[in-house]
Amino acid sequence: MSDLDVIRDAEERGRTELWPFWRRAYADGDPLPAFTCRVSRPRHRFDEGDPLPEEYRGLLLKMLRHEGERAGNKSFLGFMATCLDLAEALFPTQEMKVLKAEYLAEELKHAIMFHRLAVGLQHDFALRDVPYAHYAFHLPRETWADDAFFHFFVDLNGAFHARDWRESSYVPLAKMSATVERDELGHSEMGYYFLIQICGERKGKALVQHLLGKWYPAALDMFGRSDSPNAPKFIQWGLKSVDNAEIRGLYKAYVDRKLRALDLELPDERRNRRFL
Amino acid sequence: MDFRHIELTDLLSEALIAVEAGDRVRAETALRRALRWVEADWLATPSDAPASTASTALAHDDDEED
Repeated sequence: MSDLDVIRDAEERGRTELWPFWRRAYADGDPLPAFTCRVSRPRHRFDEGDPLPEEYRGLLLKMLRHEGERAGNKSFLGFMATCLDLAEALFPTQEMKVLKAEYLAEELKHAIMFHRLAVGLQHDFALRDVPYAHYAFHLPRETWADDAFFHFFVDLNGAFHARDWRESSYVPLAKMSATVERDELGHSEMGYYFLIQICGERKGKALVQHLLGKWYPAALDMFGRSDSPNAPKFIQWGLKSVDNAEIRGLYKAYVDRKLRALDLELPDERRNRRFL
Repeated sequence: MDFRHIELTDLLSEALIAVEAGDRVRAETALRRALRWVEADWLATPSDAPASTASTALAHDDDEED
């Protein structure tokens, strides 16, 4: 079967057997932990078009800048292009190449969803370019294993935040949360599937173990500083339920369990960390 | 912002997850909810179509459970 036939076949069936990865993950039960707000706070609810308190608007925009998946964000589109370059240059099988294409399509779907949310919030934000500041987005992805770790860790970060948005005081975000959470969890599962395949060979597993030391600290650092002065404000306004340390702890428990299942040795959680 | 596409996606995803889990009852319930959503929105006459149909679909669902 030619390369084109493989892709055409996958398209004709609508999906590969694996995609969407979230289907299997959620069929086994809720894969993500529950986030419970433990502090007393007022109950806020703001819908599109409602006047927003200045501090609330500032925090919401800060959160959305960090999120980044927005059609009008040139940096996001540029980053997606690097994903395409990687898929073209490094893909190990045609199936995995198709999976990456599905991934990109779904991220572009999110970009449209967040574009609409941005337009409803503040018109000039919709076209604002927000370069990716966190170093996790700038780590070299030189192998398919790097890319697998990127998806496993970084997309999972998105799934955890989306889970937290279920209870968001900003109604459009709460309404989008289930779709974004499901998709991002699926992207993480795609990365995990790639890791399973790579670990199937001794040399591949050694590479994965080596690269874990590079990606693990970056993944934990993505949740920011545990003593962030903004965290209590986000929680009080109902934009988050838990602080950075708690969501990081829940995330760590999740990834540690999955990494142990691959028989990998976990790095010291404080090693090479930049934000504690 | 129009959430109807997202609402329908969520309802159908719920059905797909239930099918994957082999839970026929949950799959059927989810599909019934999705069909009611479609019926209340796209199949409704324009004068009857509510702005958002998610709550309507859920309310009907509750009725049937009783």
